[in-house]
Amino acid sequence: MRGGKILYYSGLLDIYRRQSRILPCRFPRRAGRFLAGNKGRLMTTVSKGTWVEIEQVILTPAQRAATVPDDTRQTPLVMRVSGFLTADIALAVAETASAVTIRTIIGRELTGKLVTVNPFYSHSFGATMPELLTIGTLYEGAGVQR
Amino acid sequence: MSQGDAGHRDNSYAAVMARKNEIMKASMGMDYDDFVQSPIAFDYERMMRQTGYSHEDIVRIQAETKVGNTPLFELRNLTELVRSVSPAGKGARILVKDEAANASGSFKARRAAISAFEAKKKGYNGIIAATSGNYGAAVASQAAQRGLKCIIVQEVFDSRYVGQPEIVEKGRACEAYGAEVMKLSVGPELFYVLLRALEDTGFFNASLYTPFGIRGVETLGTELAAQVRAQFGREPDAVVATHAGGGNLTGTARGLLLADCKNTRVVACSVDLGGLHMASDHDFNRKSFTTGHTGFGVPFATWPDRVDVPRNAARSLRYMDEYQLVTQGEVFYVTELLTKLEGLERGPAGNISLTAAVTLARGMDRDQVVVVQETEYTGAGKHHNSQLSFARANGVEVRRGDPDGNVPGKTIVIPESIDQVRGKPQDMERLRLSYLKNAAKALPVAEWSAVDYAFVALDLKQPESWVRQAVKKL
Repeated sequence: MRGGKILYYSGLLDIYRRQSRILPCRFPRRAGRFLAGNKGRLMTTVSKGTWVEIEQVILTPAQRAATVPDDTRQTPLVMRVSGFLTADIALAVAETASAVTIRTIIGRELTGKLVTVNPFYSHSFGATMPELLTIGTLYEGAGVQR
Repeated sequence: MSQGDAGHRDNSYAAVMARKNEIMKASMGMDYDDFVQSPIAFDYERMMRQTGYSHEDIVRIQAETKVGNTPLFELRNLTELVRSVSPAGKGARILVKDEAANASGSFKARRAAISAFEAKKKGYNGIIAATSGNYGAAVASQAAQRGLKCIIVQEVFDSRYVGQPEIVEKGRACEAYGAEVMKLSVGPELFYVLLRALEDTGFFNASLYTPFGIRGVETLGTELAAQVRAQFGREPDAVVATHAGGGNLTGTARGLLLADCKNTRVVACSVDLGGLHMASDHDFNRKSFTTGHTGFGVPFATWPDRVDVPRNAARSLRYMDEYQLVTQGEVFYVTELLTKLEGLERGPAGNISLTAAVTLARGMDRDQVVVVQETEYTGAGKHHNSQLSFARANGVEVRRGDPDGNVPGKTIVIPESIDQVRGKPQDMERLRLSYLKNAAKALPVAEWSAVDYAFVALDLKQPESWVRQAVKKL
């Protein structure tokens, strides 16, 4: 798993490892416990049926449209899609394989590089913005008869 | 992309783009050649009629899938606050149409409902839309109800895989309603991905800009006209619509005309994001609004036919009387006021037009009414606090003060009081001239026929004599 680019989400704990911004990861034992087909065992494979996210490079920088601004043109056009893994895959293989196959939620088969196991959403309401707290309250409402 | 028979086709960017028209034809069961009259002109009204749906049909279809008949609320406390800073006798009543009450939480369900119905009727197995907006969730929600598969093609993240919270939430909502979401990095080639997906699946193209989508919004106009008449015994004096691609304004204005509201001022409103490049990887996460901004509003007003269908049914300048610009900070301020004063927590993108209404109301008589024709749902990510927090974390300065200090991508200034919510009118003449320049690119003026002049005059809501004079200035 050295240098791996796969994110592993336990689904319960925020144990994850991420590309260059690596958070220390106690994976695989804890995370693997919650992955389908890997209950309580050290995870060495990602099981068929696991919800994963794959990535495809749609256009390399050289293939991009002429109208794209320079900063964007230096990057590939990348796509990520989630789906159920169609076959067991050894982690060691998954980390180097260019293509695994998934079946999406509508049943389409797509292939790509495995980038996330058990992807989930963590967007939030953000950190407190003191600038908003007093708007429309007595702290700013002086003189307004309501 | 799917495996399918894609391997037998040339899927290079150039080859797919060259197949654009045939892919579109197959994916909508509609041939735009029937309406096209020249590189500029086409029979717009015939195209709109050709959908085959009457207004009553549309109302019924929408009611089947939890769309329409949303409440119209009077914002009494906000109106009072505006009156407190208005000249004597001024301060129109501000009303809001609570479109968040539609299935999927925005007015976009009105657009999606008719496309989904049409797709089902024509026997398509699924439906695809390319959008980073509320439209994705709307299409997914409508598809779920009609038993159709759904794919949403969405621009989500920059080259660091970072997506701003509002976009991430919108993608999540699509998945929540059962759609497959093709999440893309920044770039206009989203359209190429859409074309390939249409070709791979044979699904229906639920483009935002088909006649089905725009006809679907007409019910918003007829409903609000009836509600204002019933509650206040008058036509709405002004209706403010957030403007991006143009469909919201076009559909609503057409509905108002159907309801015989000939004197209602139709006001467009966008967040001013001047200076940010919409296709830039760097700028992508430096804007706190992902739609309803000038990055879409201006180009789509000045040349509607830049879309994923051969001719755009959303033609905003045809219906627009004024165009107000507001800053990001002003919208966040008004969003917080709506929450605190009116007890309505709604998403900031839906409150762009509310911000313009505050400005307009101040200059209108007290007995007049200004209608804000939408709200949108809110939640994690789709919230002004999420947006501001993300902006600050990405190096954008956030402070209170005079909104004149707003610099898109650099500084968000949240007003300190209601009188600082001022907006700024956009120069309509400049927009119309810009449209003419684009039209001249499509077909040199020397080659324009009487049909072209007549079309352009209608498209600009100007007399033909104005068009003939104006083209001389190009």
